[in-house]
Amino acid sequence: MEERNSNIELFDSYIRGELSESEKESFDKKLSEDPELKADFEIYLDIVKGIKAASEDYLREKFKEIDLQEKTLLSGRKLSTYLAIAAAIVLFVVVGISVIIKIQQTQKHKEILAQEQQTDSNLISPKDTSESANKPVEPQKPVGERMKLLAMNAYNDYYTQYPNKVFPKSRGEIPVDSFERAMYYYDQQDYLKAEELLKDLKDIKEAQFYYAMTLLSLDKNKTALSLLLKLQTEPTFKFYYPSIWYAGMTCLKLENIEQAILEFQKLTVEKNPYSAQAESILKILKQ
Amino acid sequence: MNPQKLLEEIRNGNEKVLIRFYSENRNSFIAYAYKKYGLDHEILKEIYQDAVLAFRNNIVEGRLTQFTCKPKTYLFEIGIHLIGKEIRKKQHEVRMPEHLENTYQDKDADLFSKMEMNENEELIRQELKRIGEKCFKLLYAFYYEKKSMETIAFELNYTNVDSAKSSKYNCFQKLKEAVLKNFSRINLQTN
Repeated sequence: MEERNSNIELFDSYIRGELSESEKESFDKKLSEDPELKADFEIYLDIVKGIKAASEDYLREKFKEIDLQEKTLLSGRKLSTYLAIAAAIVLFVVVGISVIIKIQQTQKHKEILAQEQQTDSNLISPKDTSESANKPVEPQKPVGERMKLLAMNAYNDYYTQYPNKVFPKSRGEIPVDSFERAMYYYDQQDYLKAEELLKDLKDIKEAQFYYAMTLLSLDKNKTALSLLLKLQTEPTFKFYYPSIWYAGMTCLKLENIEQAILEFQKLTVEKNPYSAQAESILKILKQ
Repeated sequence: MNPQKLLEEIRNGNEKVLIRFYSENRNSFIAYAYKKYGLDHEILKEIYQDAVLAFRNNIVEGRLTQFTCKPKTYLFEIGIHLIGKEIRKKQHEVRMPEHLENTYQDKDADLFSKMEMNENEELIRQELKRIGEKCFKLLYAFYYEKKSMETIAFELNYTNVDSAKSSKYNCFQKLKEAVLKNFSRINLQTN
């Protein structure tokens, strides 16, 4: 084994060019003279050749691995590109649709404004009674849409914030009493703070009325309406008629025309501060 | 990386540098060769791998000690030569492009030639798979990468150089036994 081992080392040194000139000459001579050594050396060369071939296989595998990695990466990039293109198309379509809708809405809005102007000229508005019947009458819109327009006009023309009639306006310090403080904020048009205080004053009916007024100012119309309807049950209540009036106004705002008519009709049964205005609105709504 | 540094790194068996060099030039070679010779992409890929291996072998075997042109140009020349061989092999009626015939002489052909496959080579390939990764890495580092036993002992975490030498001998012997066994089998068959 020692001899064979030394043979391998000798062969290694020979093929790696690590032998001196004299050692190389000596080895060449031995090879030509010793057939056994020559056979051994040929086997050695075959093995080294095999190792090199296997080594090249190994490197080829490495090359294939890197090819595959880059291909996968490239596919990922391509996929990302496709996704980006798809996203861009979707975005383009969405924006396009939005623009079309917006254009249509603008067109519709213009039509509504035009019709509103026409309606204004036809209506006897309490704020502008001078311009009336002499303008040409354009073809009417369908009833539902037209009624909504009338309701909207009536609301805009008649709605005013109900004044503070429970406490005199405080000009100094903020009041301590909750209701009074709420009304202070109501006067200041700080409706959020007023709402916060009034909503808890459930036992004070007047406070509940102003709570409804505050809700209307905050555009919480449905809650306000439900409260105003509750407040109409007692005719002796200080804000009985205002409750009906504002219930009617809220219905107009909610475009609930039938309910609005019912509310305003209640105000025409007997004389009260709102009778005349209620009749005017009913006249408009019944056109 | 500058050409001389590339050469040194490949000569010292820096596999990562070789793979990066392979990767950097693959697509341009395949695109160029496809446009010029119209060979199938898969064939060109194999030729390119052979070209990189020949490039590497020329450096490690000491046949290429410095570049007289860009490494990429040298690699492409090897690749074009191999394409010429492929064309001659597959289409005997097609003559080798004149500029390729003139560029390479017989000695260059030897320089770039691949090892011939024979039965023993295949046997050794199989045997190397069987004797395990550690043996393969040891023999790969010594016979293919031409590293010294000191470097190998250090890189492959052997306790000392003698231990690495002893392992190398054992691994080599296993291969030799397999070859001798195969040799006996062939002799028995022929007799």
